[in-house]
Amino acid sequence: MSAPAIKIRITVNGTVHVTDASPTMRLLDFLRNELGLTGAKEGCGGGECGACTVLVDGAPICSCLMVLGSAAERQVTTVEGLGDGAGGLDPVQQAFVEEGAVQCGYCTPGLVMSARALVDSDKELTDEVVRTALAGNICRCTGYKKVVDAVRKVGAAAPDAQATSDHSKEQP
Amino acid sequence: MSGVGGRSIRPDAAAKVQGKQPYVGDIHPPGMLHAAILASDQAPARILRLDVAAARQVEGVLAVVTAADLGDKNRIGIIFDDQPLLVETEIRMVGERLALVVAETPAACQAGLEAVALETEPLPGVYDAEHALDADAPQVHPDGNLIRTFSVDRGDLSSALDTAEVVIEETYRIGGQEHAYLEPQGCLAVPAPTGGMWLYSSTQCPFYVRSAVAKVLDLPLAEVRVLQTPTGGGFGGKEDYPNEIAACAALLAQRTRRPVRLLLPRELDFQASTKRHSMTVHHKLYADSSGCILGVDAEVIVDAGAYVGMSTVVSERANTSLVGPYAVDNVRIRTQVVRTNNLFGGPFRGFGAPQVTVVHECQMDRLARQVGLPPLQVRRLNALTPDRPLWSTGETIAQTERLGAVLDALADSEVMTDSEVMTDSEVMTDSGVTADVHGPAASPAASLVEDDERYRQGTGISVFIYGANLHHGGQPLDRGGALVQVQADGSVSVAIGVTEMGQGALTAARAIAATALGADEERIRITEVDTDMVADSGPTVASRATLVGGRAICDAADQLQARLLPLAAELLDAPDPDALVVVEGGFESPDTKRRVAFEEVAALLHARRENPAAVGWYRSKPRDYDAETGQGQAYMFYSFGAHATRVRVDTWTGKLEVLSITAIHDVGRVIHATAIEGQVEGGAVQAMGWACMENLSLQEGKLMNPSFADYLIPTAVDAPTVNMVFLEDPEPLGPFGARGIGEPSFIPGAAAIANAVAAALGRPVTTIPLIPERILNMLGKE
Amino acid sequence: MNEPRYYRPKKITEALTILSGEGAGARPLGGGTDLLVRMRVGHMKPSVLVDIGRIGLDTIHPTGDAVVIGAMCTMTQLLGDAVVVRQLPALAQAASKVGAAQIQNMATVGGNVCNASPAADTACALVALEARVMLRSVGGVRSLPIGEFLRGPGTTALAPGELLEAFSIPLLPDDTAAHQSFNKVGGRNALVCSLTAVAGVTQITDGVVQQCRLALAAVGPTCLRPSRAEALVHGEPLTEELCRTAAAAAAAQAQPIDDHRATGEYRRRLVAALVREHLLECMKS
Repeated sequence: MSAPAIKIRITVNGTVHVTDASPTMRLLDFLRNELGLTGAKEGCGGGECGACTVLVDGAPICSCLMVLGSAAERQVTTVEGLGDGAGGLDPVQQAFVEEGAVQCGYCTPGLVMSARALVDSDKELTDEVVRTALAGNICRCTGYKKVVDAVRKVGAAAPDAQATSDHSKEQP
Repeated sequence: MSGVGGRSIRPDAAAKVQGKQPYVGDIHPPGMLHAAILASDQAPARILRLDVAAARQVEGVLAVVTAADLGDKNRIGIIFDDQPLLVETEIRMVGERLALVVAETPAACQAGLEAVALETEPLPGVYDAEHALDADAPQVHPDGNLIRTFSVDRGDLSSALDTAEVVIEETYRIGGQEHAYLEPQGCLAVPAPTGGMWLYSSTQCPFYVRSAVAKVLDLPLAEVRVLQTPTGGGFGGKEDYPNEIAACAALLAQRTRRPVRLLLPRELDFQASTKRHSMTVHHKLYADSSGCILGVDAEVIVDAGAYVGMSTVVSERANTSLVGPYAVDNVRIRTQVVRTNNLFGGPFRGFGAPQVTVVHECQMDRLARQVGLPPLQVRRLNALTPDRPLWSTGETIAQTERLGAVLDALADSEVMTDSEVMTDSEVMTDSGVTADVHGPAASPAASLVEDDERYRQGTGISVFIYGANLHHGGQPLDRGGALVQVQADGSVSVAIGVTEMGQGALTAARAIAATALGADEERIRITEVDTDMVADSGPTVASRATLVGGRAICDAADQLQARLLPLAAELLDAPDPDALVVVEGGFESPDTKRRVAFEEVAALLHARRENPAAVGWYRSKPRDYDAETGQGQAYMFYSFGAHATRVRVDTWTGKLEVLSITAIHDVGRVIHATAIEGQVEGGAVQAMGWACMENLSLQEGKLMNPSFADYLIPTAVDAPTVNMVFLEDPEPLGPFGARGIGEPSFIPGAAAIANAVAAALGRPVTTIPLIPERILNMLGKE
Repeated sequence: MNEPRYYRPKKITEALTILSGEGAGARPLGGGTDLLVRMRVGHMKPSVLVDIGRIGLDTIHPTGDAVVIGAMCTMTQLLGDAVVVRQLPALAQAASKVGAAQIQNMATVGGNVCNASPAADTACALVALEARVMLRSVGGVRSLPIGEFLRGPGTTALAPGELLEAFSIPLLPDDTAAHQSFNKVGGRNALVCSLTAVAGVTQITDGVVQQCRLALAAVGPTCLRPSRAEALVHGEPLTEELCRTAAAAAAAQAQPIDDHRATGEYRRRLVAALVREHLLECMKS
């Protein structure tokens, strides 16, 4: 028996792609090598670090553990798909920037995607909820505090929500 | 507020949150080839046959290189010339490179690797550093397993021995650690059109990479250009190891005359790259019955692995730091650096100091219990002070009031308010065994808060001294540059010789440039290192980025101000240029309070065709130090700090939870508030990982857990709250008074956790990491 | 380096036809979180991948005295399902401990069981819940108790060409939910393989244990039921002393091995700790 040649139709950041790429190619490789979307990073290749996190139908997944065929006919969102399309930042990205949640930056796109999915959910963004939602994204630089602060800042409606840190900050 | 002390947005933040920052794995020039390493999965062993003929025939493979192809250019060691780039006949460590494959695609690379025929003969190995110097131990290299011994000899230990009323003797076994930077090692080598080589390297030390590649390719330094790519974490792991990756990529690029990219797969990165050294420390502390330390006698064994790498210099810092921030008159330390067939020991945040800090701080707590003093009190009793400023190196430590301030802050910290009443001499005897740890607490020791029968809480403190910048032995490397160019529109271009690896070097340098120049911080463009732009500035290690980059920038700014101030005075109609004050965004006349914007002065500078650029330079003053006795001025200056940490232990499962950490640091001056918080929060959590969960599981030199699934580092749900106290007593030698924070942020972490666990359990802690099984074993059989 | 051929059938019958036609080299691809890792490190080299992500099998529905859970339900689905959360909390708790959010969005309960890892979290809960596995092939359907399905590390009773279709989990009286738990100990708080895990389902009426089912993960070739511990508490009122005794009995029945994660001796102590924890929770609730 021979497998039928499958043309894969996939929507990435709102754009429909129809591709002849191998259905067993990892989604991560498709995004990075075929579409040039290098925001998702490979940190381990085994679903253990979260650097390759993208959203599939709105849910964060490890793109190193999904084959392209499984993502067919689905909506994929990468970090490049956030923001207003004209260089303006998504509120999650903006909060990461303002709170100092970024250091080396290699885990950052994955964290941003996990955070985006969480903010889109109807969960109340308590410290515990945020930390649990980010537990699949390993960060070696920040100790997570400023990342958690950034996500909670997005979730908080009150304008003074940025006063989450222990000591006074002068906001620019 | 912008500039020094401010909270400006870091210059690379927006690009990083958008995934636009091009790490080396994201760069794909036309015609790029892929490289892979055939690595040994056993050691030691002798190569009987290494046949790459079939691999060379694999479709898509362009070259396969072995040691036989390299002749006398097969050398990579930085300090010692003991390490081949590719194994010649004897494999000494697992993960060592046997052959390099370069191919059109990663799949062809893999096929090439699989086509190599390898036959080896196993050899007897050295897997226990404590027995590496035994007479019957196999020799890792023909010249023996002892690489070097470092010493401290001060005073007369026999006098301490004679008068000591308290002797605390213990052997500590401190485990290694993987850096676990999220971006694996990688390099892209591109043959330059004119014959040299350009390296796009994920590295802390572009000038090391340049030297290593020049040596392997036999090129002049000027023909090798290293462009540091955004570096996804370093922590010491990208200090020297990137040389090896770059040299491999460069060799293959030279052979194929095409760009070659080598990215290390995570498993191989785990196995082959450098690790924090595991150390065994046998420590004898002599004191009188009042708790005054009379002497320290210690023997340290450092497991270097099969090659020296940076192990000697790491060990030198361990050797020098072992007494801690205390005035001890009689000291004898022997630090032996030994070869084994275990993991490759190398630099890691703290550079040997965290291991010995665990030792001296656990010993201090033991002393406190033995003489019935609170832990903080016994530290105050022995601390360096202006009256007793002589350290174990025999040098006078300046401004030791700063240590007093750290201890005061410790006393004020919230976690200390209850633990300071801990004088539980009855709870733990010096042998560390209590009558009944499962029973109700026998004494009113406040540290032993019991949630119930199952959980126990404890608080621990640790205090440290940190020798800033490179040790005396590294001083030849201690210089650095900055190229600052004022543009006609008032924007500023800054190139520095120290690297950004996440820690915020660019952010700090930009803040310093803004304040030193009076320029608008937002309009200062500062970039990763390009070795063609700035002279060799040494390695970005030892918490020296802010110091070296900052001082070089200040020097350049001084040169530029000599040209800018007269022009500003002209524009302000001020009589004395030197009396002008540099303010945020420009210059102010002290008399009239009138200001002129930096842009206007810059425009005039260009209109007058004055030199708008300056090269700033930094170098430290020579110091006197005797490496034989460990006496003299070891470091340029010193900083102090402390942690107070609260833990909870599950006595049923051994699980350890770190509830809170209070970090107190004597930073001189906060250059950038967000960046320094990020360093301290990140360093404390990284140290927590090392202390609690990061366990390098070795079997005959092979790492059994080379993945993030099995080598566990803290996730968001493991990380505790870190409270921070920054003490700002300016450092005369630091830029705007700053001292480095990168390594200090890590150093006290594990020691405080060890003491907290000891307090919670009433048992001495003698080993790191405190994985649950070890904690349960400490508690004995149920 | 030969890439496997790939099928993405739309119906279970199609999938079964392909699997039986392709023979031993064909592997069903569920969530992929285990299979892709094994393929990457070369532990598994299937010649054919049958992506079963579009054939359904992803529903949860109560059927009177049982709940039927499709094999392709993800951990996230289990966590979001009111019946699972309310009536099978041991399973929900286990699902919440599999990896972290990304893995929970991908990993399926069928995959977690078919991998037959002795440390599998949901398998452990399903053993305590006495689930039956429903298997289908072109030849028909059959069902087995999960304890018979799991044969050893990486080994199940799945026949060639057969797919795990669903689990049928018998419902217990409502108040049993209060006495279900899944607890695991790993080297950190999330994203971690169990050193040991224990699932417990205990039914107590008028202060007396009517039945107690315990399942122990990562301390034997498959999830174990510590029959002696279960028997000790059966028909008895729980006391602290009995909890301790039963925990010790469970530990004695564990068959742990030493590996790079932990020694067998430590795992045995964890069994005692976690069984005791479960029984004490039951006693106090």
